[in-house]
Amino acid sequence: MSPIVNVSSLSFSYGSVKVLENISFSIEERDFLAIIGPNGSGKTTLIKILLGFLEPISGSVMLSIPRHSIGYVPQRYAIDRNFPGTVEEIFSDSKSDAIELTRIKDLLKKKFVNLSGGHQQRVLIAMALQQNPKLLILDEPTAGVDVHAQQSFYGLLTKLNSHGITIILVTHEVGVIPTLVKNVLCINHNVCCLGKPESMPEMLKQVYGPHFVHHHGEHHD
Amino acid sequence: MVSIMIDFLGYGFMQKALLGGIVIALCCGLIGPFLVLRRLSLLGDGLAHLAFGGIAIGLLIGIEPIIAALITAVLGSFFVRSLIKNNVYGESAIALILSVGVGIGIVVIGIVRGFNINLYSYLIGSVLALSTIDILLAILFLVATITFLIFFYKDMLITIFNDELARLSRKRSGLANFFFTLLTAMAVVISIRAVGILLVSALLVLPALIALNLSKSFRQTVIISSLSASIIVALGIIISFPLDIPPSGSIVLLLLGCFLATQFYRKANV
Repeated sequence: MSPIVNVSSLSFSYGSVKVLENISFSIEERDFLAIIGPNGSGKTTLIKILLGFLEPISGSVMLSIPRHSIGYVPQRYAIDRNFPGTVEEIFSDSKSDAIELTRIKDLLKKKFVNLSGGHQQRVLIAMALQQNPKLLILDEPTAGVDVHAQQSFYGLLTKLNSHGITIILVTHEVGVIPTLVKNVLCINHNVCCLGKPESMPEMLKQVYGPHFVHHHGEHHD
Repeated sequence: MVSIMIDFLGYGFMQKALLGGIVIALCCGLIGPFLVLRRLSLLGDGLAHLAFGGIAIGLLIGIEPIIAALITAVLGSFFVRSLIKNNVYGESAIALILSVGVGIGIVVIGIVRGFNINLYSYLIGSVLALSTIDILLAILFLVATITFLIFFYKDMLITIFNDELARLSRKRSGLANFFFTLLTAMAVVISIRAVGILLVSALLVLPALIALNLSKSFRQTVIISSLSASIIVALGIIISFPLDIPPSGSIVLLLLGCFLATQFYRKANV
């Protein structure tokens, strides 16, 4: 399979603060990749570069698909809590297949901000799916979502991946990674390692330091 | 009192004031929710104060003050937009243009002593002094605003929902933002004639806040905002006569009263 994303010697800084330094990796088509790392390690910056919102100071990002074929699910906290729109209003096409697939038909008449965290995530993913994306990028989608809704959400992601959509999931929920994803990318500024979920404990030690102890389901900064 | 109001409605200048006031209010009511939800409520205030500097320069060098105001407001709105794009906080960018506008005005007043009274009339506005050209301009602007919303409503809605999603999925969101910036500057300038530089913000922000307290959808927010603005402006003009108070003041106080009433309504219905 050919890489859908190829990142080579990528560096980025906010002013004098270096966030990413000489990062290289590639992601194959149909992969389901989790990106993990400590707070402030550059995960969100990396996806903003992939999405074209930020320009790297050096290095390159090669995509084998046009940027409009990327579906993006932002953190739900990024949505203004006073936004008055209904779910139906934010969709280009209220008869889209994405609405059936994500089971949000009953939510269309409701205000987005009045929905539960789990339902808000389903709406955001349905919005991303409207464009028939080849690549889906999700930024900490399950933050603040209850366990039951998380399980159902991860089930939906697995289904989308089996339909051929490449998925990049930025997450702090390391406990679910072994059963959910195909590959893991651990980053922390200038450290970057890509591997199978089985090798995650070793990767976490590289990223967090040798004293890091990984308990199932927990994440230590 | 009612008979006095009915008598006044027979005067030509009163009819012009009502027509002009309602058209200007409709424009501001349509634009206001987009400004408020994008956290740019004070942009109107900043641009109006910048326009004050423009009006002063216009009076100094003999250009029609409203044209000078329009040029400075348009330049100012694009300047604020570019500052925000370059990581300057929105409220800081607005504070910057606000101070610059007032600074220019004060300098010009210092250079030429003689047209202070003219400048004062722009500060508090006078809807009763609207000319036929002012009204025609306002109607033209209302048509432009409605046309903009017909073409770019969805792009603006998604931009408010999440700017990054709009940039990724709505190819026209950049163009929509360009026209919106232009329309905001125009809304400010036509509002100056009705309510004055000091009260422009009220006409842009308060109807949107009233609508946000009452609406069940974004579409309702825009409709309620424009309708409440036009009804309140008409009422403000009408009651200002028997009470012998400036219409701009009565309009703003009515807007405030309605906002507080809807705020209580919202709290009671949570």
